[in-house]
Amino acid sequence: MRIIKLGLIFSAFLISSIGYGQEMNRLKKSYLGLDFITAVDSIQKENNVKIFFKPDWFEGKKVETSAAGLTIQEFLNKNVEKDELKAVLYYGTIVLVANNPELYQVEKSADKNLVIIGDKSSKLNEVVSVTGKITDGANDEPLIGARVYISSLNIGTITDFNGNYSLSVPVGKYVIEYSSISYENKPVDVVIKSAGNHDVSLFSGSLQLDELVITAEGQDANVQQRVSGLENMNIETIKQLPTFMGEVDPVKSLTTMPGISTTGELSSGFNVRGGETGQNLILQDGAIIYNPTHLFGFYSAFNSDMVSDVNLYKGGGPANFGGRISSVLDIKLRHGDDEKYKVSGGVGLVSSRLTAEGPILKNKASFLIGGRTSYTNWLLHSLNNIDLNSSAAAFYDMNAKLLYRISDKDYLTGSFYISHDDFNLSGDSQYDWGNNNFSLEWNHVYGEKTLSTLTLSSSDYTVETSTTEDEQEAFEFDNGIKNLSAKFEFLYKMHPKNSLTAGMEYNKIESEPGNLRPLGEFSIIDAVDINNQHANEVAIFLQDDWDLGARLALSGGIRYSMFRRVGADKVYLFEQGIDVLRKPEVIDSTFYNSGDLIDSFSGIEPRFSLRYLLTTNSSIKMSYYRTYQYMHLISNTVSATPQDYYLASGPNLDPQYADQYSIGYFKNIRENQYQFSGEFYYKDIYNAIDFIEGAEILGNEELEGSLIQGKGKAYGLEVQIKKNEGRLNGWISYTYSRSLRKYQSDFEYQTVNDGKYYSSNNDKPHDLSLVLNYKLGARLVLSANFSYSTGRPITVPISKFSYDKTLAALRYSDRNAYRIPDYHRLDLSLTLKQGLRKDRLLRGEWVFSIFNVYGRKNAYSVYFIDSGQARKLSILGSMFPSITYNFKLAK
Amino acid sequence: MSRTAILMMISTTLYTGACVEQFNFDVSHESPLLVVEGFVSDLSYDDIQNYPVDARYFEVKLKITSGVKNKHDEPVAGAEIQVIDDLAESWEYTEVEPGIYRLFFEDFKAEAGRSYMLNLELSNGDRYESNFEMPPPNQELADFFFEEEVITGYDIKAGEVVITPLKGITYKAKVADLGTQTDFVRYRWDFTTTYGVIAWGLDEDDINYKCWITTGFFFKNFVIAKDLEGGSTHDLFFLETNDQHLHEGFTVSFRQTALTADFYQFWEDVESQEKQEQLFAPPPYNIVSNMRAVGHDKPVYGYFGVVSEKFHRWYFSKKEISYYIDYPESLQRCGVPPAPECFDCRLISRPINSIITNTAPTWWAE
Repeated sequence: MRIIKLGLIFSAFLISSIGYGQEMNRLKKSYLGLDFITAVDSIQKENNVKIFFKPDWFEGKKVETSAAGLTIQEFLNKNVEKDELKAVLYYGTIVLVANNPELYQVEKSADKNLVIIGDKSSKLNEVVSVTGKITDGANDEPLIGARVYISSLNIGTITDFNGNYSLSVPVGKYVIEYSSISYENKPVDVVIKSAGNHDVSLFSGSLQLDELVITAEGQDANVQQRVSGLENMNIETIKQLPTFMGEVDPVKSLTTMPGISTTGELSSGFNVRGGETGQNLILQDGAIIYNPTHLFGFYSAFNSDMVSDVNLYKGGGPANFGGRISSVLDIKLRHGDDEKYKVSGGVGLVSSRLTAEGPILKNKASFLIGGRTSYTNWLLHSLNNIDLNSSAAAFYDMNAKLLYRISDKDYLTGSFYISHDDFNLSGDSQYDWGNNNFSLEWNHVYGEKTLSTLTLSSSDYTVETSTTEDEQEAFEFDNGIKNLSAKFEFLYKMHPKNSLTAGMEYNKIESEPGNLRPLGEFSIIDAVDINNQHANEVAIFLQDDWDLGARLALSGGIRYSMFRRVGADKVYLFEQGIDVLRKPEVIDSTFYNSGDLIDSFSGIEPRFSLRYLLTTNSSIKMSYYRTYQYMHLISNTVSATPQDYYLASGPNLDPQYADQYSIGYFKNIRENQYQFSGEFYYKDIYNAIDFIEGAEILGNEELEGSLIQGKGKAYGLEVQIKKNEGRLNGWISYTYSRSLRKYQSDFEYQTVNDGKYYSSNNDKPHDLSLVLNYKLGARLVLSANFSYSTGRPITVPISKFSYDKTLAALRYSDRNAYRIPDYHRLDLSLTLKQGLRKDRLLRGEWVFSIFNVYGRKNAYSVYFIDSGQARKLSILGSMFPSITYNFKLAK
Repeated sequence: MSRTAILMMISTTLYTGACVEQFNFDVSHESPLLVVEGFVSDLSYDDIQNYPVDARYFEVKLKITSGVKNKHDEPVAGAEIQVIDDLAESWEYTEVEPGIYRLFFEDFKAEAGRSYMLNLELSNGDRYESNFEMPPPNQELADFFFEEEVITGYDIKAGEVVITPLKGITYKAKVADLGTQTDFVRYRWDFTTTYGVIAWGLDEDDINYKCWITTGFFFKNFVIAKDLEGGSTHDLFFLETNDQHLHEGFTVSFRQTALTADFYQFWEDVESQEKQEQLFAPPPYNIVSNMRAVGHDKPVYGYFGVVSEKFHRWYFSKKEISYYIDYPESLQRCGVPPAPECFDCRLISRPINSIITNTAPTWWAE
């Protein structure tokens, strides 16, 4: 079938004759020595058959094998065999098709730019030499070590010191890919007829404005990238994964990659290389997203219709990122189309989304606006349950992005994001939380070598909780965090092989750890308004991306971060030493006026990543990152909840910092069709935070006294095998990792598990993801996602005892000494696209998903009743089908 | 609001097939450990006769931890126990039943300014001892009072649980003025309730006509508080005024103990553990103990407290309530057919771990 389909494609380029029916009689004439085309014409006429072929292929070709006694098909096959062609029957006609279709495949779009190399003198399959020179398009300087590669033949070469290359290749039609580090790849459709020359100019990505729009990574990016530990997923790949409730979740998609995991089912928070959820910097167009979830983690905060690309740096990433010690998730929204108006969206069972885009000023300014909303309330109110009838659960979010090209050298983008979650349980417990984010980015090109980017952003995350379930304990609780940021980056292309980025970043942070108020006249809750914490974080950074040779590339940087915690605030002094019982008591406090310096910290954060190309398709990479984190997420749960809040480093809390080392091997085979990677990492975490026993989290202005800081370490091996193309594609990722903590002190209250290393909350040694996509047809894709991981650690009651009138005082195990059951789940989805006609006004697709195909009752959490007995809570404890319709409306 | 409820709510919203199942961790390799429960106070057996409460000797209970199932702790018999003061004077306990050891000294009490510790040796030779603790200064009794309130609660009507206003009184304790203190005074109040019950099928002069039920589980089992200057007020319990137990006499004995900082921490831990299911519950942790192993490293749980204590008794009186409290006639007659308890008050249903007697306590006041 595949050959026949290819034949049909080729038929557009073949001379065709109309006719049906043929008799496969044996030929009587020999035709030897005759021009092949003439012979075929004769055969068609004499035998009343139709033969489809492209005459260009046989110009000058003579009949070499006698036709006498052969069938037409046999004759044709014997004469075109050397040309790697063959004759096939197709509905009563004969079609000459290529044995190696890629050799002859011509794409419509390529025809316009088809480059002819050489003259017509060579025969098909003759190996000829193609030479040329690759230069920097900006200054005509030769590019040394640039790559020339023909993926269909899996051959390639590298330019010499003068930028020259020479490649031996059989004549034919190919796509030659010219590339160089820091330059935009340039694929060129060529027909090589004989030995010839072809020169190419490449442009540095940083010097072309258009390049600032993130483009899809090349399939060999995993080998070529300088930066180690970068996981990139384009949105199309993300959309192929099976979904829960039809909602595409960019963050969860990343957890199918090695080294990235979640602590629990449906937790949109994620853990990178043993880090905690609060140790990830999540940026959307430069603005921090503090809570990447809706509905307590059931939905992602990111609108997949608007996301262009998702980059996750495992570790600190380049020096221009900072503030978190585990990872940087950099999500960029795409720009609106500046030529056409388009509308897209999706309709699901409990939520829908709609996105519109188009030009404001054609080719100059565009908009992209999109929103999502849930409508779960009709479900709640239709159920025969009083509690649910009086409950409400809803969210909405809205993104907008504006692009304005001021001139050839300047453009501005503005990105807005608002979200709101409204959750009411039985009418007496209300949870509201939301994000308000804004970012403005101005890019300016100074000349051929210099570019600057100024990003101004603000993030405002607020949470309001109230409960009146028990009037006596009714309360309102507010918490949140605000961040204002300014970041200026200056990129200087010192040399074609050396790009320097320098910049400065300023963050003004105001964290509201909590304001607890009694609610109603009967509440006996004591009001506690924990002072807001104010801090300024300034960082300067320098990053150098340098190709040290054809094989060796360095991405090195250094970041110097400074953190100042300032008033107004009251800082407590806690007792220390052997007299402390369960937790330290406050022995003194100091009040600081607004702007007064409370404490300051600074840190030097060197980072480098080294890549050495072993061959054109294999490399090894090494990296070292040091990262500092001054704001600490306080959470008493293993997965993110809205009520989690941030505390600033200060007299009672030192900054966390981490050193991460990694080494990896990356190998692509079969024209990048298959990718293999294996990476080992080791990470030391200093001043890792945990709680002393019995710490009170909510509304505790003395919480700092209940926090302990110690050492953490994480290590692991990440392996991935990926098949990029073909009817069946996908990947398998496996990670073996450990994430441990150690709190040892002379004092018992600061010691955990006798001062020995123990599993952190997100220590899950085995983590496996299998993602498969199978194209059932041109419009039908079946996708599967299987995931397995070791159950996360947990502290469990191992026995109980009665004391006085208390019937069950619990005796707990060592911290995190046990594990909840292992997690595994299989999801399937079937995507049916509507007609493939490109001129169709409305294009849509149906996505049928089955989440948790075999109904595994995975534990969302395990909790304990009064007697200490365990209860396993499964949220998605059965197979869950869903259907979603996604559409695009465009002229 | 419990975290579980929230998650169940979301999952129900989304029809996700949420479920809760019992799950058993394999803790069979974990060894049971010794638990010590006991205290001494500044009120001896003789002293306590002056209060309107039952006299008692000091006791120590020894048991071993049990599995996290509905199973009683196994008593530890055959131990030798003594309480020792900082002058090395000691008093021996006597085992009165398996695992229960009593200090049969009528005049023994924890003297102010002296420290006491518990020393025990199990039948297998394992030895344990407590830290020395000194009884905190005895504190003036709090000012106990109540306020009439209407709170929201649950009731059962036509088999359905409904939310309904509940009329009643909130009993409170206002800590006495503490003057100038450098350290917190730590209080614990617990309650023992006694109420009368009637066998309506008998004549009033029948010995089994009226009984008295005493229970420590009628209200929340304890309240703790700490205060630096005094004057703080603490809710102790809420009593519905239509409670059917109020009509034949209802009294509550309040025991106010002043605790050491360590013992207060122990009770705070016990209290916190009961909140583990709540959304903002602290991470799980073990309750501190002032006991330790001697000559080996086996952990030991429980606490041997040294406290100061005072007692107060309150009798409920309908006259003190601003509104009329009806004694429903339905409670004053036997059913049809009459149940056995209609003819013997000792058979009337009562709370678990309660004591019933057909003899009025010595301190009972009608």
